[in-house]
Amino acid sequence: MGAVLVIGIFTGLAVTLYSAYSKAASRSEEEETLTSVLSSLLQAKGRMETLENGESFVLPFKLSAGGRTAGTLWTKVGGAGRMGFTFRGKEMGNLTLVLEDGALIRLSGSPDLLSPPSLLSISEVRETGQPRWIRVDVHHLVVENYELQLASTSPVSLRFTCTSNNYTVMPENGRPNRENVILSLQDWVAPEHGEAWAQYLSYLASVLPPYYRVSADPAKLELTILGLEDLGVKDILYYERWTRIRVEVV
Amino acid sequence: MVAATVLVLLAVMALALFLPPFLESQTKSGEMKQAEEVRELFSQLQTELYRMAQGESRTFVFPMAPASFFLYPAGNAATLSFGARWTENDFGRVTYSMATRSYPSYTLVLEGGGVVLEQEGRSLVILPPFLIRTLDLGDNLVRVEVEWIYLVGENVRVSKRGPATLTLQGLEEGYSAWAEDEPNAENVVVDLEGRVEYENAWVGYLQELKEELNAKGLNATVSGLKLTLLGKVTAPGTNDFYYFEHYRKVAVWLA
Repeated sequence: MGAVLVIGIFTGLAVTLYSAYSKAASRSEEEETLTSVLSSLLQAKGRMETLENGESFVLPFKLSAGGRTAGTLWTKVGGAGRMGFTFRGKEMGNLTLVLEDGALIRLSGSPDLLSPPSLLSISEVRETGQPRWIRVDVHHLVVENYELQLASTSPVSLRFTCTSNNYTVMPENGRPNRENVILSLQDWVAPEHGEAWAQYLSYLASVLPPYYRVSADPAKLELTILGLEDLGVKDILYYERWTRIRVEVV
Repeated sequence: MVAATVLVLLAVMALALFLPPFLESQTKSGEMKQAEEVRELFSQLQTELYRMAQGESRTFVFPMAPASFFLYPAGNAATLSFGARWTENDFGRVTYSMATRSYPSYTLVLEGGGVVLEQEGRSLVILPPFLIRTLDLGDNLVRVEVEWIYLVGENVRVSKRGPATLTLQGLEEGYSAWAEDEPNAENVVVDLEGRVEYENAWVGYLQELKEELNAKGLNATVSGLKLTLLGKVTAPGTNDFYYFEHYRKVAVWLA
């Protein structure tokens, strides 16, 4: 009778402890997978920005948690093209990480911009110490390949290859070619990511020096750069660069 | 029946005796590991600040909570924030604060290109910035370059259990003062007043810097947050410095 009681108590305790342990272990494995995919996507973002025509790099992606698939890695065509990871966690719930035109966005409820792109940069061209013109660089990173969906219980490697890297607009003879620049993303990025892009445009308008006269219209996903001079004077050296990237499973 | 009860009681007693110190040591070790990881990340942030070109960006992933231990949930999540005050020359700062359970709580701050550690009510510059570079040119002439690092962005505070991301983007860099063919300064003043928030740490750092500069014969003095270099020639009226002032503005995004 005593032995049965002891066994009963121990079995009950073991079941309770195992269940709690299993939950904690699953959560920890899911966290590890998510952090690993986040790091891989950030590495991809950083390296895509510096890719030249014909160059490529390979990155590993961990797609499993505790021996089961944790989600789907995918690419989509259209607009800027994008790649992402849709995570389905037993303990942590669902969320999606998307890399679009150099921005890393998290979709879980409202979109959240995890890492802004290097889409726009502005520098000054100075003469005798004073800014004379500004140089505006717009650099689009386009994921351009067939649609891909991938789930796996073992790590996979993806190859990122730059298929083209061209300037489509640039000044001639080193002279300014624009009075102002309007960057419009409305028809370019996926509508469901609009809120994250609006955050980015507002952020740009707030951090750039006020004398560049940069304003954002988050509702229209539009950024306007008026430059140093009033309308009628070309004072902007405008460069537009397009880097197209193919993503494939190695 | 009695034996069974005694056995169960013994097991419970053993658990009650050994489990708490074991869990405590596991927690402390997890928190210490996280503190080391964050310190390493701040060191990388500092390195990137000084080599990031305009238009370039780097993103870092910060752990916000130590790994939770089975049946013993981890303590609070850390807070990662960016803040700049509305004063003219404020450097702006990234702050990571962790209220830990077993390891001493700490705050790490990236400010003016240096990293400040605040722990148990004391603050210290643990990774000094490259604030002043000097080069002896001979004939009592010295080249001095002062580098100001400004962090800009929207004031944001992030606190969550999952990882947080911090992105730095090179916005602007240039010289606000430079010497051409002739020495252009009689003395050099580096004034951190209004620029830094962790004043005690910076006062201590300036004292150390003063000793270093005096060892080179540059006649440095410190008063509060102001460091003055008189140079090798202290008599007034002689320009003995080639003075350069370089600045970098780096945008910060937290999520």
